[in-house]
Amino acid sequence: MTPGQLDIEDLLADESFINYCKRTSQRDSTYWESYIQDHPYHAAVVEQARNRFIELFNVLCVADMEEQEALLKNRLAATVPAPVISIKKQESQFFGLMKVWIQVQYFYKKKLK
Amino acid sequence: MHHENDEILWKGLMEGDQDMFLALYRKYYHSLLFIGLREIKDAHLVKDAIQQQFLYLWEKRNSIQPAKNVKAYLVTSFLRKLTADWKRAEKTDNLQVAWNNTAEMPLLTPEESLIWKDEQQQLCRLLMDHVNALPARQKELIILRFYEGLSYEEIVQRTNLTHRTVYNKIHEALKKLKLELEPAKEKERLSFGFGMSLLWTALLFFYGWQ
Repeated sequence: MTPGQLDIEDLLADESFINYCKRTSQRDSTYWESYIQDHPYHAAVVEQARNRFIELFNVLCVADMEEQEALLKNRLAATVPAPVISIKKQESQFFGLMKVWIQVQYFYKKKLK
Repeated sequence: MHHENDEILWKGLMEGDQDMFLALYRKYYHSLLFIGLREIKDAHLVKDAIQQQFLYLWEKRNSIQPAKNVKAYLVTSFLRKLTADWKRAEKTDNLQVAWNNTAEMPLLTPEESLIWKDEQQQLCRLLMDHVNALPARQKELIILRFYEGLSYEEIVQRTNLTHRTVYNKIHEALKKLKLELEPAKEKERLSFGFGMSLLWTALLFFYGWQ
């Protein structure tokens, strides 16, 4: 690559560059560090590309987390026969007490029979 | 919000507090995801195992014990679950499995960059809009490569596309994400950061007086 021809997309599409960004390969890190030293006129674009990678990674993290959390909430709502769970605490206490009361009533009725 | 104490969250879970439970989920979701992906290169399976583990915790919240080390407990039981799931899946399907015996693999965690995340929410939203506007195949490849961290070789095996096609599609997708900022915008971002730090200093100064 000659000066002026290096752009962010080329860098991010390069496997070793991502390894350098993620610090997953000592060899690639060393390579890119010395590359910056040898090509100081590319230091800025390398830095930009690295920032864009972190941003892209974070954006994908947030989006996936939101999707997965929504899925978990749906599953919780679908498997919610347990009486203790309720959206509001006051309600849950109320229904909890009601349930105990009903059970006690039921128990005594059964006992009487 | 993101520094909740594990003990408090765990206690909340035992008491049936769904908000605390979800906070615990959010806190450990990415740790578990990337630990899992290190073992098994199948995000679908790993994500499902995380869901199952947390659903199990919620169901058993009345009988679980106070945990001394919440993180260690979550990671160990999750890996046990994942291994069991993988063994079951292997019998029915030939998954792309990569057992990795290298113990450490430093990885960017979302927490690492939470600080600037607050500063640059608008930029992130714009970037996500660009990602969502990509054709399905390109979006999939971007996620495999930049989020799940698959290598080109692993993507080739997974998708049955040629190495060249995968590279070209990713390059094309990156172009569409408009990552190249004009120098003016790059400056703007810097001055925004500078503005934030000024604001912060002002706040500190103000409260220092009280």
